[in-house]
Amino acid sequence: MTLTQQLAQFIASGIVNGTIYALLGLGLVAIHSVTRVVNVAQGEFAALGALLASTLVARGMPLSLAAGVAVVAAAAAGGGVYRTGIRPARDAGPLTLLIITIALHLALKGLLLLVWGTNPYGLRPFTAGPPLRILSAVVTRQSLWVVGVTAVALVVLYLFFTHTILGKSLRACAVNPTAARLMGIRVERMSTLAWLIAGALGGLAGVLITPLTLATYDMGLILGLKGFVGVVMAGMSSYPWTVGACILFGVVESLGAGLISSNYRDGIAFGVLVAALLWRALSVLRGGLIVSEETAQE
Amino acid sequence: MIPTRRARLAATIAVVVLAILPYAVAGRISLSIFVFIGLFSLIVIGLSLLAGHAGQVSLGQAAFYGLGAYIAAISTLRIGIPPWLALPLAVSGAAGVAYLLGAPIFVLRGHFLVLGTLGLNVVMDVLVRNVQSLTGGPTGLTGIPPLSIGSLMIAGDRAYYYLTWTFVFAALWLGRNLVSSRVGRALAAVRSSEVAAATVGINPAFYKSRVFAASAALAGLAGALYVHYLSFVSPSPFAFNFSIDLLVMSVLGGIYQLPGAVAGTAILTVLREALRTIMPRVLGSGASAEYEIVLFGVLLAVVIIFSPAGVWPPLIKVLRLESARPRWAQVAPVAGVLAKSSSSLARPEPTGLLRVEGLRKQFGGLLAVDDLSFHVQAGEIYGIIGPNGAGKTTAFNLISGVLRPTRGTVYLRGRKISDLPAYRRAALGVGRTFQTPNVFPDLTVLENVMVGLHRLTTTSFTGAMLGLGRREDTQAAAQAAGYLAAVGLLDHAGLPAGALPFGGLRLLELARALAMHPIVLLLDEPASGLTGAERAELVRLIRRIRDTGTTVLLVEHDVGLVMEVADRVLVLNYGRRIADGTPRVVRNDPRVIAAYLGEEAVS
Repeated sequence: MTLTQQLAQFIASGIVNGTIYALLGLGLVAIHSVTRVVNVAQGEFAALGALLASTLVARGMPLSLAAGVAVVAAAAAGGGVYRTGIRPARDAGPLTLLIITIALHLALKGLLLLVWGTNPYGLRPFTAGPPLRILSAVVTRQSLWVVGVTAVALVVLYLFFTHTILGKSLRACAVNPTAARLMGIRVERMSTLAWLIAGALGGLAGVLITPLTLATYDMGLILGLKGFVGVVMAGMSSYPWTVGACILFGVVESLGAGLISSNYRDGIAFGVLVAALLWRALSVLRGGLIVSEETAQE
Repeated sequence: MIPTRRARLAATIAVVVLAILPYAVAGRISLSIFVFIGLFSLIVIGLSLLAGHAGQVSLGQAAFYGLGAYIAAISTLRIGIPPWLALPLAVSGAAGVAYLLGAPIFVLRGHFLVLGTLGLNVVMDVLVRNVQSLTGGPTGLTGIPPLSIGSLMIAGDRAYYYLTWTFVFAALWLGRNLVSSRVGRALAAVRSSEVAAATVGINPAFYKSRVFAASAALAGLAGALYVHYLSFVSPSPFAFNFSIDLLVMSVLGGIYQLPGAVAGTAILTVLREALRTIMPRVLGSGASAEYEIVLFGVLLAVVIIFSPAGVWPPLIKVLRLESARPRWAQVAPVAGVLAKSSSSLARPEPTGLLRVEGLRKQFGGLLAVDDLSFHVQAGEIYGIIGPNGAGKTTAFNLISGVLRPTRGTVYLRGRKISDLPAYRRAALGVGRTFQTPNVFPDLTVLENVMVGLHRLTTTSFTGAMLGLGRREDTQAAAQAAGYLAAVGLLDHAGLPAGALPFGGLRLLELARALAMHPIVLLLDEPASGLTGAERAELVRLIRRIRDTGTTVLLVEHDVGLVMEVADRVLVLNYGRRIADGTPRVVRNDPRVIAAYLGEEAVS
């Protein structure tokens, strides 16, 4: 393979990984913008969706139905986690809520381990057939499914947020919960909805990625973390920027792993993250700004 | 925070129990679990200091623990440095890396440290596993010599038990000193409002990066002790998962009180160990690990949901160990404190004490301040009025450095200050209050004013940890009491500032701003929300502040008050100057009447 071909290959697989991170990242944004919680257990929704879909298909359920069941189950897990673990403590500080999600992550991971054990589970690709050639990269059909389904999910999400009362209410809660409540929006219900959406997106990510990587009970944390990196890079609140940042992160990670060594895969990805943070900080320092604009507006 | 007699007694009992523990449990329980509780406590004390007092969360403390461990291991094994020298090397190495990471990151507001430390932890882990020639890779390094001083060899459980716990108590002592010092108050101020802290001259990033470095130093110390204790090191104890464990320990114990760190660490470590031994007996050896994780997660969630501030605060309440807040021994004479204000009267500035030239601020499509120029003479009371949205508060934000101007310059005594951050401008003598009072609610009324004295006091970070600032604190408390007496709040000095009524908050903010001896004081709607009597008192106070040499800028909706006290008045509308001059001139200006009453009123 020539270097150009290699690069194209790395970028293509980076985009696919980044798309998965983006689905998790979008869930994190939905949860954070409405309930101000950073959800460490986000990846567990993906693990649940992946394991459930694998088992159902192995027992003979049609793949599309199994995927649907898995996504709904992950959504229910999201809503359930919110109702049982987060809502009782919703007035506590952000750090306490963070610790609760760590606890929920541990509990969910333990439950997955109880049910599925430590063995990896596989899922057949959504459509059979040889890989396709796009430009100079070889791309599996499942990779296209990942990107395609995510694109559809993004459009649906966009239409939901811009064209439905429910979606607009959700955005209103994110911007100003007090004002939203005064307008008669039931913020409590919207919070549950945000967690349901996050669960569904996580479950979808799990189902999509399993044919490429296999599913295990402990696959969630690192996926969730990488989604979180994209979320923070994009400023914690923007859906489109989160998608962009996650895909960029996926590409950087894939290039680093491919060009240097796959042993250093996570090291390179997170090293770039630290470097980006420092670069951003130093550029702010040069500007001489100490207090940001939005705090001054309080 | 000064410990009560009861608290001292409790601490003494704790020390005694820990001192006899190795002999009490001899032969029954291995001491190693207590050594580990001590080691982890060291890290968690640092983390609690960071989370509870600097308001920052690290998801990478395990990286500093690992850094300390590997620095000690590599320097003794590969370079042949004696272990007693490797210990400080490990501590300063961890602190140095933290400082290099933290100092820039803290310039960014928000929780970017979470991301930076998370990244550092993953990078560290990958490097340690892969740079085999140096670190031994996944299998690690063995044969690390124990600590020794001369011919005295520190080896075995008991020796490391006593050594570790001595460090734990030293860390608690240093941490307590820091928290109850000038630096501790500055940290509390930064935690509740970075904007307000910066406007009294505190540089938020400065203190946060030092606390972060200190927390990393403790983690590095724990790491170095760990390798000399076990004599081997491998990557797995320092992975990201352990950083999460450490954070859980600190929140479980309670991040606002340092002894909570030890409690949280002990509970979590013992719980882990207990689940590991009990579960196999209950369920048979097969399935124990699965249940352990589930049970652990559920227990943790339940404890945090029922006691969000951790286990320490309820424990303190039951044992009645609350600490006392600082008091003032005497009240410094008011005339004295106010008269020291400034030397600005002695040196008249030809171009005005404060000069604003072509100032402009654009928020998206909105021009909040548009090409504004004015100057204020030393010793003046300068009023700024205008209808809602005229840009008055924005102008104050631009002068005090809370906002950066889109264009234009601000000079103080001929020096350009508009490119300086807010805390530097405060240090040069720009004081201010806020439209919505911005006090530090967790601190007492007295402590709030002591924060105002921040830049006039000098105790350093290290000095504060060693408890060297006590005398200065006593003087500062007396001075602060003087300012409180001047605004009539002395009776409430010991109250938490959050408990004051609205008028009290305004006066407290004023006292805090006066305490920094400003050359120019910007008062943003000081009269709003005050009762008639309070308003009359405010007028007297403003005059008195001016009489002691401080120049006053006054933004106010109460036009009557401005006309009453101001020497000159500037009228803004839509971000532009529409009139200025003495109250008499401004009052009769047709443009002013039009702005307030509408065009019809003029014609």
